[in-house]
Amino acid sequence: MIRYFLYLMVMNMVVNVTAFVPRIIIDERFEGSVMAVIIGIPLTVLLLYFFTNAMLRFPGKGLPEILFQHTSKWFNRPSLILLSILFFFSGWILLLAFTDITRTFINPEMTRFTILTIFLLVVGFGVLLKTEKVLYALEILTLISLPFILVIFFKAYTSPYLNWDSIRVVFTHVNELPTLSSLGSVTFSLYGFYNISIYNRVFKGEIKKINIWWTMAIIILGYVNAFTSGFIPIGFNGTSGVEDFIYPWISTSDSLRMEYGFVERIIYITLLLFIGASLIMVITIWHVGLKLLLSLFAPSKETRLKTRILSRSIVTLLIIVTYITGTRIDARQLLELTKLYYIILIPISIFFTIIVSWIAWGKKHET
Amino acid sequence: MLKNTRIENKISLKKLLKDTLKDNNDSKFQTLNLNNSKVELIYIKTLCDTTKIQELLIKSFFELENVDKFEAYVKSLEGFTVYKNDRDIVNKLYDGHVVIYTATNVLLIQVRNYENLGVLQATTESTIQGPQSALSEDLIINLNLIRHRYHKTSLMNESLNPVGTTNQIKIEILYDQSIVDNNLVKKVKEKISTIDKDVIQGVGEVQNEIKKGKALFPTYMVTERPDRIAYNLSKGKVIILLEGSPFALIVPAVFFDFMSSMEDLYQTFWISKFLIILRYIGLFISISLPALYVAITAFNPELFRVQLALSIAGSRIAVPYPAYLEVLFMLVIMEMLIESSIRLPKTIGPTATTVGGLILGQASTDAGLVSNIMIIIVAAVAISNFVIPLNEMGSAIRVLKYILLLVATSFGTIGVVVGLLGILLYLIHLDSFDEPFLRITGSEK
Repeated sequence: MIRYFLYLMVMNMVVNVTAFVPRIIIDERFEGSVMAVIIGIPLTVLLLYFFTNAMLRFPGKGLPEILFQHTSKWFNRPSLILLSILFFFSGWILLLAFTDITRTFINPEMTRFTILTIFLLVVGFGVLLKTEKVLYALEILTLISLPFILVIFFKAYTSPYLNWDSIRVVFTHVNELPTLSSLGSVTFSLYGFYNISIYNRVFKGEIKKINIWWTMAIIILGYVNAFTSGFIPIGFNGTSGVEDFIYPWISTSDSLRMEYGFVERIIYITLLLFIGASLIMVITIWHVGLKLLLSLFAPSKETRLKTRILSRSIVTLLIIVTYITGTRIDARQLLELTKLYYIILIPISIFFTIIVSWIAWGKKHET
Repeated sequence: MLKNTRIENKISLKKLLKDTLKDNNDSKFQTLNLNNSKVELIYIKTLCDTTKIQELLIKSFFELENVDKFEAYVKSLEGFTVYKNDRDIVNKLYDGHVVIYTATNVLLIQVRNYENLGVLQATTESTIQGPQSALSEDLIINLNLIRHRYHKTSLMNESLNPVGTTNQIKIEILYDQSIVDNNLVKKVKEKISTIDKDVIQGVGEVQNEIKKGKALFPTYMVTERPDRIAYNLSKGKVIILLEGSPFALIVPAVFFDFMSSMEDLYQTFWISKFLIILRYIGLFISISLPALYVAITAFNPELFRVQLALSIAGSRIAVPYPAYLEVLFMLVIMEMLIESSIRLPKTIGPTATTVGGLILGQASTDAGLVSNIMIIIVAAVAISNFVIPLNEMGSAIRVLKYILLLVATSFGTIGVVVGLLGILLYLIHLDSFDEPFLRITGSEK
């Protein structure tokens, strides 16, 4: 079952390559994003190590069950609401970013409303799937899209147009102190592991522990991913030219050519792949949010019909909110909001990691 | 006293039988008299093997010369069943039993004669090098075929209550007791007992009745191959056999089962892997090619390299209407061709396909109604649809491509991607007897 954990991590990283993470890294390339990458990743992996291993100490239990059992009501209810809103928000950002990407690069004459309609139809259906089935979907999508995505990365690294000197120029700013938003965006690309707050329910104790080797592998993966998402566009578009793009990676992939393929411009492969990948990620994230919220209302399983109605109405509400906000917000505002969100996420994630680790530590010393 | 009621019962029963059978032309009442012993036989001529009755019953009655001996003899015969109640006797009569009246007793013995006994050739799921026989239309022969492929003492065969409130078709389930999940067997029995339909003729109907909903995808496998049945038995699945149907139902079934042919087991490793990959490519082509054609020509022609985009556009120059009409038009014609070639007598079939496929295709491009490339696409879709080894899944895919075509027509390339994702999610959402329909199984580690 450790593969599901890896899919959660990898897909989250990959999806954030195209969304706002590279934009923020690139924005602050002279103000410390290099340093943010260097220190941000080990720090996040430290969080990962503690949070995941703490969660794995409770086989078959999600975060709500753990909080309900070990903390008092005044703490766990508000915090679950907060967490579920955060999860919804992160899916919301991804969804709107990709709506915008679709409109900009694929169908400029289509309205946001239309694109959101088709996205939300599928996402709404996917979110309501059973928890383990969401993971099955994630697995299939990962296995389909990952090879292609790796080919694109490979193409990018071996492209003659990749100018390493521009990247070197940025790396001379390594001694700048990282800004909060760049640190936030680097850490966010590794936040896939927080999804096990719910998916731990179906892991059923088959993974015992994330050991030091896995941690090392994830650190390396994180570095490669952050480098690819943040600095490859710099190499293609120039140290200062890169700031003209809202979605640097997608514009970068348009400089890649598949000379012998019948789809010549890699941008289309990138777009179609990443839209599939991001939708499944939105489903995965929103599912966590939904289940966190549901845990407040129905801790017992006997009221199945009620739960079904409740979850459907939550998803409907979510869809309506996304419609209303999604058709009004533009890419610039979304970017600012995202920055703010990434910054807020840092203390919250540290706080909850400490709480969960503390509960797990207590449990270990009880027995 | 007891004897009296029994005799009374018997007389009333005989009256009942005579009443129910008297208008039936093929019912037969035969009285055998020898010395002072008398035996009556009641049976339906057309359901019973009359030579067997002659050999087994009549001849031996005259040889034994004694009713008690005859009774003992009949009781030792294969096919003897005990009298339960009147209702049961009537049913048994119509199942090829002979009712024997002696002075004191009622005996039942099955001497069934079933025409159409031959073992059929596998035609809907043929293989090149595998076993060539398929199931027959008789339950006994099917069981015989299966048991000869699965020599294990734990192979259980259970007869359930007949299905179909009017036509009372026998239904049996088979499973390997040592492997199967008992809850599954219980659930299958439960579901079958809830079937409430007047007439049931094929396993497809049983499947629809068990599912009770409107489904597009088959979630139980219909097969005619005894080797597939034996293979699935060894995987802990339950087989449902229906009287008069040369197909069996295998539950539960997952998506990958529908994409596998028995041939995969009989070929060498790489050949079978190659065939499987080929099948998935076929699946992808037949679902998405029409939709992609519409999406790309109508929404994003810049997706292709320039030469290809130009040659597609060039071949569409003469076509006076949008791409989706062109696709729809050709696809519908193709479906007509497929349907007609299935229904037509074998002797006219090839003519229809020639006229339809070759001449119509050629003429419609010459007339400028569809583009050349469209013809290629339709042909590719039609051919690759038949790569899917099980007919039910193939038919589901045939329908599915129209849904994707609709999404592509209204949303373009992005519609195709999201539509494919939607199909995937729908497949994942399905269950087949609590077994997730689509998931990648691996070592659970």
